[in-house]
Amino acid sequence: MKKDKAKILARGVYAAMSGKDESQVETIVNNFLAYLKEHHLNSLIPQVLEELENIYLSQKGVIKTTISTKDKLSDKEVKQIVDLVSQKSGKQVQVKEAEDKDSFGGAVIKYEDKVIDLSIKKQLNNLAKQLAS
Amino acid sequence: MSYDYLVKSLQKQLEDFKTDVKEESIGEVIEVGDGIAKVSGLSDAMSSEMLEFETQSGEKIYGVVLNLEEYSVGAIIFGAYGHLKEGDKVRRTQRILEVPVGEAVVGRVVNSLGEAIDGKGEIKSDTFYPVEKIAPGVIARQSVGEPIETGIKVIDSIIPIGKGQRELIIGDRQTGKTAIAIDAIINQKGKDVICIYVAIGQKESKIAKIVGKLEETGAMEHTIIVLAGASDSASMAYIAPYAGVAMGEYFMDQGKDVLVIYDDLSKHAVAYRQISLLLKRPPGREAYPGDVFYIHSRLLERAARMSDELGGGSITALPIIETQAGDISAYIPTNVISITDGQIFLETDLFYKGVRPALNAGLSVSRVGSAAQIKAMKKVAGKLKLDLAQFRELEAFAQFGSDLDESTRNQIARGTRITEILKQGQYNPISQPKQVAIIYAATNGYLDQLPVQNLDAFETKLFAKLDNEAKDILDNIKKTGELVEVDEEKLKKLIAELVDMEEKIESDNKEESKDKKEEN
Repeated sequence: MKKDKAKILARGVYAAMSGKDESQVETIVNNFLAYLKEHHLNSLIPQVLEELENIYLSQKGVIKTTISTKDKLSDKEVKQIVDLVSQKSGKQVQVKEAEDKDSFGGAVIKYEDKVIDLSIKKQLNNLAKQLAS
Repeated sequence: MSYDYLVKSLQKQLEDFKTDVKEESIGEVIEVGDGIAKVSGLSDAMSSEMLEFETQSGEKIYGVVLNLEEYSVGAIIFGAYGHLKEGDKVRRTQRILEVPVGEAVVGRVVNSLGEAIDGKGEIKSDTFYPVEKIAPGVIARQSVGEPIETGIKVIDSIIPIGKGQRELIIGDRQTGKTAIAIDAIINQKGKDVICIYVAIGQKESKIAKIVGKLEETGAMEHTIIVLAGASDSASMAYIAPYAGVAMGEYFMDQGKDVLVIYDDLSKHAVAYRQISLLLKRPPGREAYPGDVFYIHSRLLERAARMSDELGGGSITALPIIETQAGDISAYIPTNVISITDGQIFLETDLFYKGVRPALNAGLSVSRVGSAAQIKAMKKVAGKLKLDLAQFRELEAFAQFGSDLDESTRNQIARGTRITEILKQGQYNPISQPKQVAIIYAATNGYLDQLPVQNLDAFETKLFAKLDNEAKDILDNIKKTGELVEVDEEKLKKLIAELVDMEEKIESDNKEESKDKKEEN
């Protein structure tokens, strides 16, 4: 339920804030923080912030994409991946690069709840599966 | 195998290796509860789609989507969910849950996923059938007309079951419900009928006993046992009957006859209630969810007799329901009674009176009726039903004994004898021709002069005599299904001969009545 709750709260706050001027937003945020404190929900603040960012980005038609690789990619490679994802999803792409020392090589691309696994690790797993069958 | 050969074969295999990269949907476990999980992500998952959970140690567990909610997906998990943690990966499989079917499964004990649990090795089958399937429609079916023989006298004579019928076995605990089902399985030996026994929430010791008995009688060769034991999770119990009927559907599609026993559907409903409540679906009557009727109706509707164009196969279903203190008006019993084509009602009182099978002939019905009987049985059983009905009305007067007029007394005498010959021991199915013979003897009054306690012995003698001296009568009934006049005469003579040799009670009766007159 925890994650659901953060999503629901973030949506509510976002809806309340949209279209309001700065001073109103400030009162809303203050009220919201007071609400969280009163209901002992302060631990949810990081998740709520993340959700707020997600909502904001999706409203603007941007999706977050994480690329996990063993070594840092060149700008050209990143550009290729960004093009691929934006072509697949039809949205703008915001890239976050992550390091994954276990993947042996290749890259894992994550966006929304989709994963494109191009890592050597996955391919080795597939090979093992085929040889075993 | 030389080194070169190994390298070459490896090379060949590697040549075929394709790195097919696909875009996958991956979700995350948010919550795990008794046999259920909530998953975030997977926004494109479909209802009743199979999911693959991957634990941190790389172990794979399967589940099925039941709930689609705004921010999450509710799924049931099959197997050990102990290692599943929050944050574990969940993949879509884009498949519906399937079980292995075919000859490889016959003679085995499997769990709800079709995995062997009898220690006889893995099941190697390349055919799979989906667990959930829409039942055949009107065009695909034909009416039920052929009998499926249970080998139990009282059932085959007064509540016959046809191939493709759904007949409920209902009664309290310890009234012999499973015994009827097991006898029916044993009787299918050599009749080219595949039997599937689905045990839902049963004690494993009971199943071990049943498997032992079936192996001993040689009936295991045509039987599949699908077991979701009392210690398995509710989700396993929930899909067990669907898995069982899916295995049956394969044989039905091959044009074969199948007998499926669901033992028992009360526990199935309880398992589904548990899942539903954990998934926070609103409870209704007796805390069952609103769709508890549908889980049973869609299961039992899959019993069918297919049209000849589709091979003419059939699935006969014998669901079992356990009642509490004889209350057949509880929620689940009334539901299943209304779905099935009749019920076999077993009673505790009769059971302890020694009437076994403890079948209440008044409340038990078969809505398919005599369409599902061979002609010879129809001929003798018509009278049997009438005699039994009259006996039931008069039974209450039986204690007045000789105060009654003669015709009433005769009817009571006939009734007690019929009740007596309809008793039958467990694991002792009787073939149709023999059933016809003993019922013929009873309904035609040959047994009226014999003492009731000797009838059991008389039956044994009659069967022995038939086997030794008149095998042709039995063979004729078996072959043609009819009791022709010539055979009837022979049978009459044979029974009369045998009755002559027995001791009678008539003389005592007369003396008794004389005494009464003198007293008067």
